[in-house]
This record gives sequence, C-alpha cells and structure tokens, in this order.
Amino acid sequence: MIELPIAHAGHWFEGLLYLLPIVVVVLALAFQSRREERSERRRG
Amino acid sequence: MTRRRLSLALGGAWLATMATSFLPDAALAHGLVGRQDLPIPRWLFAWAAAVVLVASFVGLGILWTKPRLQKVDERGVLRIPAALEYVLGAFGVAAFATVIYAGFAGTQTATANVTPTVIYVLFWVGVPFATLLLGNFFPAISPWRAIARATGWALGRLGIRRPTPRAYPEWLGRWPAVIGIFAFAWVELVYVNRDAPSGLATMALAYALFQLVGSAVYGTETWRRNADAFSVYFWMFSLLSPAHWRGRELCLRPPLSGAPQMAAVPGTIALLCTMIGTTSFDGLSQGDLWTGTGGLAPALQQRFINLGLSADLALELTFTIGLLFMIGFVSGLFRLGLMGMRSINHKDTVQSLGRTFAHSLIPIALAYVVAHYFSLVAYQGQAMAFLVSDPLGNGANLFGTASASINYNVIGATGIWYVQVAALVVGHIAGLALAHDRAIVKYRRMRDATRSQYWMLAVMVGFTSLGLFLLSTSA
Repeated sequence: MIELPIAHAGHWFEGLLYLLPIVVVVLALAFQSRREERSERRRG
Repeated sequence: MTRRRLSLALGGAWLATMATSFLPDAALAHGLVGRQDLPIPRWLFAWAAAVVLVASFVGLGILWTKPRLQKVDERGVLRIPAALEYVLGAFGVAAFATVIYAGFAGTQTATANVTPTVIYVLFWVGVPFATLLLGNFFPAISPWRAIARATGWALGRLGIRRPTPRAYPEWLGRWPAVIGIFAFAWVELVYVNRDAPSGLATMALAYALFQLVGSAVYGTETWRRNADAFSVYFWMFSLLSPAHWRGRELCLRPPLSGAPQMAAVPGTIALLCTMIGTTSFDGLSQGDLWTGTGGLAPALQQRFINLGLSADLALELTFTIGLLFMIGFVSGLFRLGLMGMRSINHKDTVQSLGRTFAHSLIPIALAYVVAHYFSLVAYQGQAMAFLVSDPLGNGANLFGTASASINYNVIGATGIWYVQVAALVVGHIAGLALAHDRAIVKYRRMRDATRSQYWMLAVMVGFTSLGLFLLSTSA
C-alpha cells in the first residue's frame, strides 16, 4: 500500500514547532540589528 | 536588512530546518524505561529554553559589563603526596590490564563482560562527569602516561640515555585528537561489532601502543596535551570545573574560568565540533527519521546494497555518512554565528573569530554529553556493581556483588527528561556567558560586544532546539 506523506503531517508539524523559536530569535535579532545600524547612521 | 544579513538569517534557518522540521517525532526508547509524564508537550520545552536563553542574554548585557573570567585568582586548597601519584598511576595500569584481559579471556556476551561497560560508560561518559567536579584527574590514572613515565624512569635508572624528544609540529595541533575522538565515536555509533569485548580490547591495546610511540617521539606531556585524544577530551571539560590541578596541588577557581585560558591551536574547533556532532548523531540515529520505517538510513542502506555492498558494510557506510553530516552541520551552525559576528568589524576573519570564541563551545559539548548519556550512566553504570565481581562473566563472585542488578526505578523517564533539559539550558547559558565575557575584551564598546553576540545567541538557541528535538525523537 502506498503511504501518503500527508499521513505524517502531525509528526512534521511537531518537528516544525522545534524550529519556530529559532526562526523567531533570528528574525528578532536581524530586526534589532537593523534598527541599531539605522540609529547609528542617523547619529553620524 | 542587508542582503548579507538576510542570507545569514536564511542560512541559519535552513540549517536548523534540516535538523528539526523534517524529523518526525519518535517513540523509540534508548536507555529509558517507562513513559514520560510531562505537564506540557515536549516541544514547549524548546520554546521555554529559547525564552530562558534570550532572558539570560539580556541579563548578561545589562549586568555583566566587565570581563570576569579572563584572568582569575586561584586558591590552593590541597596538596597530594608524590606517592599517591604513583599509586594512582599503578591503579590506572592495573584497571587497564584487567579490561584488556577481560576483553580477550572473558565471555563475548557484551552485557556480561566488564570491558564494554567500562569503556562506553565509565570511561567515555563517567570520566567527563567526574571531571566536572574533580578537575582534570585523568592524567593521574592514565595508563599509557603511567607506563611512559615508568619506562622513562627505568631507563634512567639503568643509565640508558633517552633520545631528546622531537619538537611537536605546530600545524598538527589537536588534529590527532580530532581523529581519535572521531574514530572512537565511529566505533561506538557506526561499527557493527561495537560491543564485541575482544574487539574493544584489541582497539584499546592498539590505542595505548600508539600513545606510547607518540610519547616516545614527542615527549609524554607534549603528546598528552595535544594528541592523546582522550586526555584532550577530558581536559577540555575540566576547563569548566572549579577544581584545577597544578601538578599535585589542587586549586579552586570560579567555574568556567578555565575555558578562556584555552589556546585555540589548529584542530581545536574541529575537535569541539566533532564532540558535539558525534553526540548529536547519537540522538539522531535513534529517531524515526533515521532508523524508523521509511527512515533515511534503511533507504540509503538499500541503495548501497543495490550497488553490491554487503548489508553490514552498507549499514556502516550509511551511518558514517550520517555521522559526518552531523559534524558538518554543527560546524556550519557555528560558522554562521561567526560570519554574523563579522558584521561588527569586517576586518575580522571567520578563522580569527573562531579561535577567539572557540572555548564557548566547550559547555555545549558537555551539555550534549550529559543530556544524551545521563540515562546510560544512571542505569548501565549500576551494572558495574556486578561486573566488578564477575568481570569475565564466568560466574565468579570476587566481591560478593555478582548477584546485584540494575534498579530502573532509581530515576524515572520524566526525571531524566528534566535533567536533560536542565543540562542543555545551563550548558548553553554557560556558552553565552563565555562568549559574552570574551566579546567585552575584544570589542571596546559594550554596544559592539553585545551586538556581536546576537549571532552567537541565535546559534545557542539553534543548538538548544536541536538538542531537545534529538532527545525528544529518541525518548
């Protein structure tokens, strides 16, 4: 019987939940870094 | 966002995705007995750990404004007599000889022979655990060091002039240790006959002989500090310990303060990445993605079998690829952090930053060891009670403890999970603290120091999530 990938969607989704904190932290740090660079440029 | 930063962010996310999002949750038990009874889903621990790391990072930025670990005072508390050093050396040689003898002469049933448990549990995991408390005690009991020193002493007494040791090549650095640790991990995680007592005894003997040759050529202490894989491995963990042995004197120092003193000679970063990567692979290889139905390993193994390899060889090749992949993955994650750090000063090279911040990987390596092998020590470590009485597995009862058994109620699966989570979180906070302390020295402005560590924070959160994910798949 062919096993459809969708059958493991729950497992994949749980795996993604471990990834989410990394993505949030990376994006937040990138955003913060950009803000600081802009603020430094403004100060000259 | 600059293109460079965006690519770094995406690269980090991709690397993490490779290890986490594609991996299904598994229920395979390894060294655990019973089900975990957790109040929240396991993935929520990864979120909580990330929050703790970010909070710690903010706390470090606000409260830790001066270097505290770069130069510290040590206080001598104890001095052991010279005779004890000889006794410990003799004990190490006797224990080594017993393990070798048991491996060859004892039963070849791995669980009934003392050799596999001594090597995989006491030596490989137990010594790092003990080192964290007692400092670097391994040189005192190292059998090959004791034999090398005894040989040198005997030759001196006989009036035989020893050749002057050669200068150890600077470029070689800790690369022999990298090869040694990789080889050990390969045997432990990949080799099909990993538990065979006679095979282990043969390899231990070969390793000891190699150490003796190296000691003869380059000098016992020089060789031990650079090329004796296990001495270097245990020494690195001892840098985190508050106990520091200066010869025969025991000194106390703040925890972690030994790590900044580590010179990142060639091979150091590779060694640390190998240590973390091999432990990570141990976790990965017990999960469904790797070994389960439709997992990567069976599919890859089948391809190698189709190419004409035997089942065993195909399996070893498959696992070797997995092992190398995990080491490469860990190296890539660390490199991404370094590349991000370059945004503060583009004159810095990734290599120079790597050497500057390499020591921050030591607590992560130890955290991975504790998290992945705590259950092994907690359960299989108890087997020493009966194995020491019957080392050959032939029915002897030397100390009257041959009938002892493993108590699996000593700690439950839930307790083990909490220990693992705590080890990972504490280890990564320690890594952050070490990197932060070094950044304050490297960058003149506190703001630059903190900004340089944004990327290290991302790396630490990545390592923590990866570690928790790997543990969850094998729980």
